[in-house]
Amino acid sequence: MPPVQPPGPGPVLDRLALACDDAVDGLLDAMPMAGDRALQGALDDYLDALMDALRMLAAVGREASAALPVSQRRVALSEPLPSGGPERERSRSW
Amino acid sequence: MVRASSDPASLSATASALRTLAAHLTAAAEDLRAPIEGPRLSAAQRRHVQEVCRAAADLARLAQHGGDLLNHTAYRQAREAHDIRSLEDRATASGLVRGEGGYGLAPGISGVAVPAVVAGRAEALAHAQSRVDELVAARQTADAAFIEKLRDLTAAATRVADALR
Repeated sequence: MPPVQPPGPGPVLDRLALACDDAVDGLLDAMPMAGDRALQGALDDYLDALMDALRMLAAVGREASAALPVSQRRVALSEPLPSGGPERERSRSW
Repeated sequence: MVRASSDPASLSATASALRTLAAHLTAAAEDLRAPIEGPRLSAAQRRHVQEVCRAAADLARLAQHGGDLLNHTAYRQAREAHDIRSLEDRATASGLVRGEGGYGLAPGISGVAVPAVVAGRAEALAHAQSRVDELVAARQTADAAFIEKLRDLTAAATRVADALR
């Protein structure tokens, strides 16, 4: 039986980009009310900066994924995940 | 005294979303660390993936800190609202009313001028006003710390985004 190779980063990068997109959508839908103008302004600035960074991360993640060799992406997507115990499997289900 | 525009439940919900995001980013960063050492990627590809991995880990920390901060603030604001309601209930029971400038004695004749009753009401008034001052001061300190921490997190998130551009 051939040894199971670890998946390439392609699927991880793709999932990461999707998770960033979802997070941005979720934060856009959220309406946290912190109180007076100063508090609200600081909170809005933080969330805006975080969403901006998430959009960038999604874009760079997709770019990095697209730059990978096609064969590696195909192998990574078709091969089973290496067995790493429940903790590892859970971390891959995000 | 009460924050008209604050909503601790909305802060708590956002905190929960940020913590979930932090978990996803942390998992992604961990997964990306594994294949980087593999021989199948070129140096340029490995660097690209490492860059994403670092940014994901950094943003995970920022989202986690933001979530913790919002959760703490939600709890604090809920506690403040409770403390204020308790104070108002006690003040009302003591015959005090709350006005623009704080607590005062209820207007009109409230009974015979028994010295002990008058003194008790004056004491309640002093206590209520002192407690209000205490709550306001504590809130201002906590609010200032909240703003400062958020500004730090904002600056850090901006740095991550700039590094990725």
